[in-house]
Amino acid sequence: MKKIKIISLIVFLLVLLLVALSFFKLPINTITSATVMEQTNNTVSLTSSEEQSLILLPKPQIEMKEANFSIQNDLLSADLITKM
Amino acid sequence: MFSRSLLDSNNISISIPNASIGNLNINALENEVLLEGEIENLDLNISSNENITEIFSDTFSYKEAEVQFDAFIEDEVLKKLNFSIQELDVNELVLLLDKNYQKFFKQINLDTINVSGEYTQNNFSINNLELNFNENSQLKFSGLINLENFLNSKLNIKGFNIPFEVFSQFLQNINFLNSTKLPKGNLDNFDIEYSDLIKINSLNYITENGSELDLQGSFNYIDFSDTNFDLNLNSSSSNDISNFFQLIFPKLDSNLISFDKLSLSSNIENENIKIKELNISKDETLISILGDFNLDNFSNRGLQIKINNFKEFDLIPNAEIKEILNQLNISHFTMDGTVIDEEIIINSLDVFEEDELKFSLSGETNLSNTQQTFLNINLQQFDSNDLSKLLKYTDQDDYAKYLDLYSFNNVEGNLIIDLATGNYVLENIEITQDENISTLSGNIFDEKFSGNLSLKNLDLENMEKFFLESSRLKGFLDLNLDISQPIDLKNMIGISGKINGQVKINVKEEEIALLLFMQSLSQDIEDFEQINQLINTLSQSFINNDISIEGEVTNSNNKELIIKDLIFTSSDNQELKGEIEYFHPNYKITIFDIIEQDDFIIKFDKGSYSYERVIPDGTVRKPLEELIQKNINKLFENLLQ
Repeated sequence: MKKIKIISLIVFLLVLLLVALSFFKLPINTITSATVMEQTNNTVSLTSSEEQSLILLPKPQIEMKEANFSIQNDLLSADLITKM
Repeated sequence: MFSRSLLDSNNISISIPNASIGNLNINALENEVLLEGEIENLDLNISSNENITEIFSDTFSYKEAEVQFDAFIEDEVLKKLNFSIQELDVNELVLLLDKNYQKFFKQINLDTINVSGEYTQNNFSINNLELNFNENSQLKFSGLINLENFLNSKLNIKGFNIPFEVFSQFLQNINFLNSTKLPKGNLDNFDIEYSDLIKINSLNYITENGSELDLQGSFNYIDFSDTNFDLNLNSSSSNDISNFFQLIFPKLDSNLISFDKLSLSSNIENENIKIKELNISKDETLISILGDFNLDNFSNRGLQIKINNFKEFDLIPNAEIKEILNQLNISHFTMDGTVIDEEIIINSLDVFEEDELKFSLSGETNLSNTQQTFLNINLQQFDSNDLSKLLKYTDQDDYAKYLDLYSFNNVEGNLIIDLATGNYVLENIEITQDENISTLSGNIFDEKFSGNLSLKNLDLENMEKFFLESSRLKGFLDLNLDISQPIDLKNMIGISGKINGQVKINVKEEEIALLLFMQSLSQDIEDFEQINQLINTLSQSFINNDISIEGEVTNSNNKELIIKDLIFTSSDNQELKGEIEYFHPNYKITIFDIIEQDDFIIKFDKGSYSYERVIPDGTVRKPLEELIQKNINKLFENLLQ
């Protein structure tokens, strides 16, 4: 009976941890214009952005606010301005 | 939002819930308008490997359109782009186009576009491009556009239910055709392939009035050579027919193309038009044409033409022909003929007045040389009035005045005209005047007539007025003439024949009384008695009585007619023999043995009459004028004594 209580408590704490982690944004600054250009073979460049943050859950990803991109290749050119 | 696997640094995902795109510019197009728009739910997956980058997108929203693309980039160059755009506002697409091409869509109300395809550096492959104008109206493109050389492109264009306003405006925008004359309607469907040729698999245009135009074929759009079309047109609208004709033949008078129905099946190969079937009709008039002609040179043609029940004389462009038809009271005609280059072959031309066949015609003529004309005219119902009108209309007044001498109800027979040799053959001409049938056959060559003439029931009163310029005769004559030598109005020689008929010579009683009175003044009692007896005989049997007359006509000298062996027989079988010499307008009448063996001669010469008695040895016994003058002198002498 005592074991069951301990397990339940652990599960509860894990759930609580996961929920907490899902709201958790770790400040980070890894995405640069050079990164984007490298990744897109110089097709897309990051012209400007606000803060970046790492989100772990539900899957690890980097959120970038107010990011503006410039697309430039031999076919077309365009500016992409993201919105919140 | 960026995400990437910890174990794979070459693949990243980008999720953009909401963004706007601006300054969109397609480098290949000369376009000053930079597009802007909202993008929603753009999810990108970017994978990179050394110098190769592939960008895949999920379906996202751009200005309410659903867009998806896959891009393949190598060495910073976009090598391939697969894309799909659904329900995009077409006006947005027009703005995307090169400004030199935007004018093609000027004033055309477009709705949405669906397009999917693949762009590579040299080619633009369209899997499917649908331009929607409204719920039922759609244009579909598919094929390959070669971006380096558009002429090497291959496209298939299909359309359904395209409104007149759209393609009319489009045709005007590309300066291809002024379609204002094209009857309004819908381009029901078309299927066109563009490659080195433009091939029209099908094109079906239906006007608001129900006329239907089908087109199928191909042509070289660079120099319009290698043209080969099948063109079918069916219409029951006179307005549409008029407009179609004026579209093809802009200089044609609209009054000449007033028809109710048209059915055309044709093939156009380069400059040659082959008419498989052309039926045009108005009311009961039906015209059928088969054959071919050259658009550049209309004289190069071979057409078979059938005209049935043609009543629309207003459609005839030649004013003279219209006038002749009106003058002759022609109601309609039917024709079967062939036109080969400049040659017109008339197999049959039947001309009617009301329901009666007036005359038939067959033969051929050459439009470039009307002297090469051969016609066979079969007269069926032709009266003197018709012939008179025809002669007057053709300025043959000299002959027309002779026609006044002999009015007839009908003429039948064949007239063969050969203008090349100047020969006219009159064959079995039968002229009907009440119950009398006259005949005429012969030949007119070099404007001279030869042949046989048998005229029945000639009105003497008319003839006397014309030839003798007097009015003492009544009755009718039959005239049988054999004209062996060609004659005309100036040269008349060699006529022979017979004359017979019934005559009444009108002399007033006062004139006879005056004659007796004059004769009573004669001092020659024996002569007076003979004259008195003669006048009694004449007045009882010949003057003012029906007498029969017969004689033989000879014509040894030019324009001089002699009626020999002339016998006048009275109703009580008294006979007088005589001779008439006629040389227009002068004449000489001789009555043989009128008093014993004396001949009585009446002369009309240069407007004055003279009378003679000639004894058998030829001497003039007593000129009557002298006798009368003597007697009048004697009368006055007696009175004055």
